[in-house]
Amino acid sequence: MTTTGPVDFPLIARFEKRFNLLQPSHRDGFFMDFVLNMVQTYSAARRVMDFGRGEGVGTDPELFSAWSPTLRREQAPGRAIPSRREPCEEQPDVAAPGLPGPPRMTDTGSSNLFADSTGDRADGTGSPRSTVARPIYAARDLAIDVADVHKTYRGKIKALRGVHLRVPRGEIFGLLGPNGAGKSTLVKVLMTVINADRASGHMLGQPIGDKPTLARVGYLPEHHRFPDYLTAEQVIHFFGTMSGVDRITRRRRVPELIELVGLAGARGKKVRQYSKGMRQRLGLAQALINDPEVLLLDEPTDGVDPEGRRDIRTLLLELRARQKAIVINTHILAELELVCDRAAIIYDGQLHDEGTMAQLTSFDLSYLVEALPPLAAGLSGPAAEVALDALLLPQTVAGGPSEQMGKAIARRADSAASTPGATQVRVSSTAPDDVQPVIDRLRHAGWRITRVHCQRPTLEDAFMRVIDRAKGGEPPMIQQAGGDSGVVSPSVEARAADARLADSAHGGTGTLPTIGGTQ
Amino acid sequence: MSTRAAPGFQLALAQTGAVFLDAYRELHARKMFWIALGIAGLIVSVFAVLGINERGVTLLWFTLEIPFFNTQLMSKATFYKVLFASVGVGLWLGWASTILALVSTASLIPDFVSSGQIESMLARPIGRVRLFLTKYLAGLLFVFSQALLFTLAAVLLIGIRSGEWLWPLLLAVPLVTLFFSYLFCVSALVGVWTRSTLAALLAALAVWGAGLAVTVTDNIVLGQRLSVQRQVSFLTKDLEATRLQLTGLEQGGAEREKIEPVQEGLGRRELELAKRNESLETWQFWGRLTFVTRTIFPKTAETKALIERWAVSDDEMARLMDAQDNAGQQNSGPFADRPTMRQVEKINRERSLLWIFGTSLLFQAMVLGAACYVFSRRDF
Repeated sequence: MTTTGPVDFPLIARFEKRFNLLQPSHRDGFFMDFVLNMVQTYSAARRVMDFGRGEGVGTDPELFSAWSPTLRREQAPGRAIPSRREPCEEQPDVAAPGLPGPPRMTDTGSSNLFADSTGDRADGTGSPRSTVARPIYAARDLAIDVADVHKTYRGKIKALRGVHLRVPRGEIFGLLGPNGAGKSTLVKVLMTVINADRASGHMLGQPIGDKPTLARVGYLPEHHRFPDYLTAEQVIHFFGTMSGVDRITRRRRVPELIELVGLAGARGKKVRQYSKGMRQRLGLAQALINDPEVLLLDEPTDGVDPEGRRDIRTLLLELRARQKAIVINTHILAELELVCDRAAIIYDGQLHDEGTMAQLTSFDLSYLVEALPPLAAGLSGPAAEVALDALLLPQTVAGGPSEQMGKAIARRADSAASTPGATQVRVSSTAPDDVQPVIDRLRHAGWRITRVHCQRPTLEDAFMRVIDRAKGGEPPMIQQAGGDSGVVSPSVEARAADARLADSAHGGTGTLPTIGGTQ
Repeated sequence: MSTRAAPGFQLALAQTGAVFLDAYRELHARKMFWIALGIAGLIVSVFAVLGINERGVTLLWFTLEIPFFNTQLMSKATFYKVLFASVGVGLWLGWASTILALVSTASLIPDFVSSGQIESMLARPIGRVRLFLTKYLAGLLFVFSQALLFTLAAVLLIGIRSGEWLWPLLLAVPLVTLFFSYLFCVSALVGVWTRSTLAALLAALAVWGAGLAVTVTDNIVLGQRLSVQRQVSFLTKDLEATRLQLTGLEQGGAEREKIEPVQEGLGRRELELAKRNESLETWQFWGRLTFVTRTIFPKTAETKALIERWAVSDDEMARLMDAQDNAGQQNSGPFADRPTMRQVEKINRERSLLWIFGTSLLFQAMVLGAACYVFSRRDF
C-alpha cells in the first residue's frame, strides 16, 4: 500500500489549522508538525526509492486469490469455520486451515510480538495466567494503539472515559458492550467521524486523526445508507475512488468483491432494490475495496442470513491470516465467540475487561456430574435432590490426593440435567483429580453416574458478569494506566479470584473429555 | 500490499471528480431535474416562435402590433437579447427555475450529513473542509446544467430563427450559477447545522426574499432622494431667479404692490426649499442605511441584471427607453416620475462589478466559512 501525504489545499489547511479543526491528537504544535512532516517526507522518499527498485509498490498477486469464490468453494466443510465450542474445550487461536494463524500468546519469535507472561497457552500447558500482565506488543506490530480516549457529548454525556485499545496486526478483536456503552463512539473516533476530546496514540503508525492513513483502513458503519440511486458497482467504485484506489485496480477488484460478497446476481440493480442483508454485503465490499490493513466493522452481520454470516466469518478469518487487524463491534456475542482472538467489554465509556476468549471465560470453570439416585432408594425429583444435598453438602469433599482437591466444593447445579431423572452436582474446578472424590462418594452411596463433563462459561456469561459487576458499582476488572504508556493492566483484586480457577484450568489437560452414559 | 494510491494532487482530483459524478447521477435520479428541464424546453420553444418585424412582434405567422417593439426602433438582435434577459433569465432562470432548483437541492446537504451516509464519507483520506466544499460545488451542478442547456438551446434557436448568433448570452450560465450559489450557501449552512431540508429551503428563500426587499427598498429610497434632490435643485434655481427679480424691482424703484407679491413668493419658496432640504436629509439618511444593508446582502437581482447590462449596450437600452417614452409608455413603477425611474436604472446599471461580485462573494465566503466550521467540528 502506498499512501500519500495530505492533499488539502494550503488555504484550506490553514483554515483548518487556524480554527483547530483537526483532531486534538493530530497536531500538537509547530514543532510536532515539523517532526511529523520530516518523518513523512523521509517515508515518502523511501517509498519512491523502493519504487525505483521495484519494491513496496504494486499489486500483490495473491491479494484476492484466497478470497476468490473458487477457493471458497474448495474449502471443505468445517475447515475454516470453527463450530461453537464444546464445553471446556480449549479454543486455540483459530486460523483458516492452511493459512498462517495469528501470533499466539506463546509465540516466541524474534518480533517478540506477544512477550506475554500470562502463560495462557493454547495447548493449556503453559504457566499459570498472571493477574496483572497483558500482552506486550512491539510497536511496529500494533495496527491500533490508542490510549486515554475521552469523549463527552454536549458537555454532559460521557461516552468515553479514558479508553485504551491495542490491536496487533493479524488479530480479530471484538468490542462488546450494551447499547450506549461507547463502542461505536470509539470506532468513530478512530475513523475521524467523531472528534475526541482527548486521545493519544496511533493507527498504522500515524497519529489518530491522520486523514491519509484512512486510505489504508476499511470501515463499515452501523446503519449505513449508501446512495440508493447507484448500483453496487457504482457504490464500490465511488468509495474506492474516495479511498484513493486507482482506476485500474478498481476495475479489477470491484467485480471480484461483488462476487465475493455474493452480490453477483444483483450487480446491475439499484441499491434501493436491495434487501437489508444485501446492503450489508455491499457495505462489507466497499470497506474492502482499498485492501485495508485495518478493518473496522460495526455490526457487520446485522440483517445478514445465516449463510451470509458464515461467508463473512470465512472472509474475516482469511483476512486475519493475511495479517489484517480487524475490529468487530457487535452485540451478537455468538458471532464474536466464533471468530475473535481477543475481545474487550466496554460499559459506560470504560473498558471493563479485555482478553482472549479463553481469558474472558476463565471464571467459574467447573465439572458437572450427573447422577441417578440408587435404584433401591426409589428416590426421584425433590427427594433425590435432598438426598444428594445430604450426601455432599455442606461438608468439603476431602480425602483426595491433592491440597487443591480439598477446595473443590460440590454443590447442586442450577441447570437442568441432560439425563432424565438425573440430578446435577457442580465441582468448581476443572482439575480431573478434584472431581474424583465426588464421583467416588456418589458411587459409594449407590448413585449411578450418567455423565461427567467440564463446563466453561460462554462469552455471554462473561459479558453479563462484567455488566452486572459494573452496574453494581465495582471498578473495571482492568485498570487503565495513565499517561502515554498505553499499558493496560487488570486490577489485582478483580483478577485474583478468576486467576485461581484459570490456573487450575490451564494446569490441566486442556481438553477435557466429555463422559456420557458411563457407569 | 497491492493497492496503488494515486499521488496527492491526482487523488484530490479523482475525489473531486467522484463527488461530481455522484452529484450528476443523483440529479439524474431526481424527477424535479427532468421536470425543470421539460419546462425549460417549453420556454426555449418560445424563442423559436417569436420574432420581430417592422410592425411589431410576430408569433408564428401572426403579427402583434406593438408600438415600441418593431424593427424600426430596435434591431432583431436587441429584441432577442431583451427577450432572453427579461423572459429567459428574468422569469425562468432567475425565478421559476431557481425555486425548483432550491427545492431540489435543499436536501443535498441534510441528506449528506445524515446518519448512515456521512460516516462512510468522513472515513476517507479527504479533509472535512475540502469534502464539504466539493459537495457544495457539486450541488451547484443542478443550476449549472439547467442554465447551460437552456441558454445553449436558446442561442441556437435564436440563431437558426433569426440569423443572429448571440454568443454573449452564454454569460448567463456562470452568472445564473453564481446567483444561485448565493442562495445555496445559505441552504448549505442551515442544512449542515440543522440537518433539516425544510429549514434549509426556508432559510434560502428568506435570504433571497430579504435581499430583494432590501434592493427594492433601496431603489425606492434612491428614487425618492433623486426626486427630492431634483425638486431642491429646481427650487434653488427658482429662488435665485426670484431673488434676482426682487432685486431688479427694488433697484428699479417699483411700486410696493408689485414688490410685495414677489417678496411673499420668495418667502414661500424659501420655506419650501427648507422643507425640501429637510426631506432630502431624511432620504439621504435612509439612503445610506438601505445602501449599507444592500451592500451586506448578496446581490441576487444585480447579478441577474448583469446579463442584460452586458448583452444590451447602454445606447441600445437608451433607445429602447426613448421609444417607450415616445410611445406613451408612462409606467414608472414605484417611482414618482419616469425620469426618476430611468435615473435609478442608470445608476444601477453603473454599479461597479467589485461592489456586485465582491460583496456577494464576501457574503458567500462568510456563510461557507461558518458552514465549514460547523461541519468540521460536528460529531456524526
